[in-house]
Amino acid sequence: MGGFIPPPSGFEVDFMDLTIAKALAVVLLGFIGGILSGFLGSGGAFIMTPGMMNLGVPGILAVGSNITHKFGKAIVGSRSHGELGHVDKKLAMMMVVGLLAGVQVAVKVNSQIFESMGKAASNLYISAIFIIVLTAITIVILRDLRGGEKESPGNTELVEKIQSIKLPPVVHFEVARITISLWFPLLVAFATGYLAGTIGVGGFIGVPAMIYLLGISTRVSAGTELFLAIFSGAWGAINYALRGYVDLRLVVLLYLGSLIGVQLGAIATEIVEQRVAKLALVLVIATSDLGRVVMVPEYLRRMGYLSMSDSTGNVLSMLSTALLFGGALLAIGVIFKKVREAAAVDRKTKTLSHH
Amino acid sequence: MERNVVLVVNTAVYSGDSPSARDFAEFCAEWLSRHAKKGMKNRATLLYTAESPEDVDEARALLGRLVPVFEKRGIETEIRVRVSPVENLAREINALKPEVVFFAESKLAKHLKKNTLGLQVEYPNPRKRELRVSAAYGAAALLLYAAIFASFGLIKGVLTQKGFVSVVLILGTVLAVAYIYGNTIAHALKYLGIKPKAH
Repeated sequence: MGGFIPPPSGFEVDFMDLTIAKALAVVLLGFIGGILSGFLGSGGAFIMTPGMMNLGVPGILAVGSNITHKFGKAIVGSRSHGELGHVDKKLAMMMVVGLLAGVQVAVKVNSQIFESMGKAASNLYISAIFIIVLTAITIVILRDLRGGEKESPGNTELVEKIQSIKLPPVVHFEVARITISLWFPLLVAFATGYLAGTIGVGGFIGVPAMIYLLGISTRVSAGTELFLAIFSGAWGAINYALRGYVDLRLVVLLYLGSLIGVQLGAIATEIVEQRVAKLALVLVIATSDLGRVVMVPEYLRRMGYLSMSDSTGNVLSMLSTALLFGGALLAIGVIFKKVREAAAVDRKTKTLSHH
Repeated sequence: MERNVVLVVNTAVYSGDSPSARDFAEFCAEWLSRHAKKGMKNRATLLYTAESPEDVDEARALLGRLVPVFEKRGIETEIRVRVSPVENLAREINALKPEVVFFAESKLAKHLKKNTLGLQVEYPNPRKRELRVSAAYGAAALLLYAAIFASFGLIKGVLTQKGFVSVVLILGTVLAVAYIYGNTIAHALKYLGIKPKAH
């Protein structure tokens, strides 16, 4: 897990020429991402990273800046003790190894692609990973919203099959209440770290994987993932910063919006029901996903693999931006419509009880 | 020996940004216990002037709820509700010949302090304190942001060196901004009466 010496560079990263309009757009991205993170517990990266890419920030710089932004927030905000109380420390300490390895490989791959093939190829790679992850998450949430099958954690056939493979070392984890070959938690940790290092979102894969593959309860999975996220965030931030892929201005501009947004989102969770939360989440993820899909031909054109006019490329870029911001603003609109409705009902109840 | 103390409860309920009367009473009782000399007994009068006779019952109920705060510290307490315009409040206080007068920080207190007798003790409004702390953090955050953007040309040079110095610079700055600006927001929320959430 070494690698403190940056690889020799071919392509160098350009720090964006930050106009006032672009700076305000980054603040807005932070605000929207913050609301979604506060409301849904996560999801800010689904909008912040692609949003920055749409503003012309190289994908690798957007990922590096977003991970650094998350790291600072996690350290300073320091998760509540209650949430961290459900950590299986033995499991977490072993998973950290796989996690950091995953982050390290992801940063290395991201950097190699950027440095050897340039900005368009790097953007294409990051977008492709986004598309795979976001599509998978969209399908899972839609199935859930339509009342799809619910598997009870710890009792699935797959979990039993995995736990029956006694590839040494087999370890018992007391808090997680599982006895399993260490290789499986390490594999899950590596995959989580890889995604966290590539697109800045790891928990969305890590938690379900711990529940449905390893058979750990939802509470312990979520607690352990929160604990691990601090390490993956820190390691990702250090590695991207070390390679010069963090734009300090973007990070601090994101904070301007996100630290307010996250509080508004958290307030909304106390008012809006779970189903609306999921609806808002799927709206953001699906439109962000489409926004990335729309950009694929443009990246291929920039790489010289597709013949297309500049104006078509510009239209695609605009469409991608419209999808991204449109979906996020629509989701926030849905959330606040429900908040207003709940407030109106509350007022009416108070008036009736007063009379 | 007895010490005559007056609590001007109007100052704790006078305007929207006033602190709660209960917190005010807790502060006063605590202060009196801390500043009690040997053999000295405190005799506290909870004073409230109501604008109209219809408000008297409500005022009595409010003061009645504050009495246990003093009684549990062994402070003898008397409730006094007068129907009188708030402009006459200073005269009402002075008529009691107080040795110590407690005010809750407010516009009304500012006015009364000029016209009352005795040692004046002010309960600092915790909401206003939040606002002051938020403003202080906000000013620091503003300076930090200004420094980052004004000197970005210089910072960029360090960042592109790709080494430990750039890592320390980035992470240190990020943590400082997250801490300082985060506190600005957290204290502003507390001022608005909202409990900030950690995320």
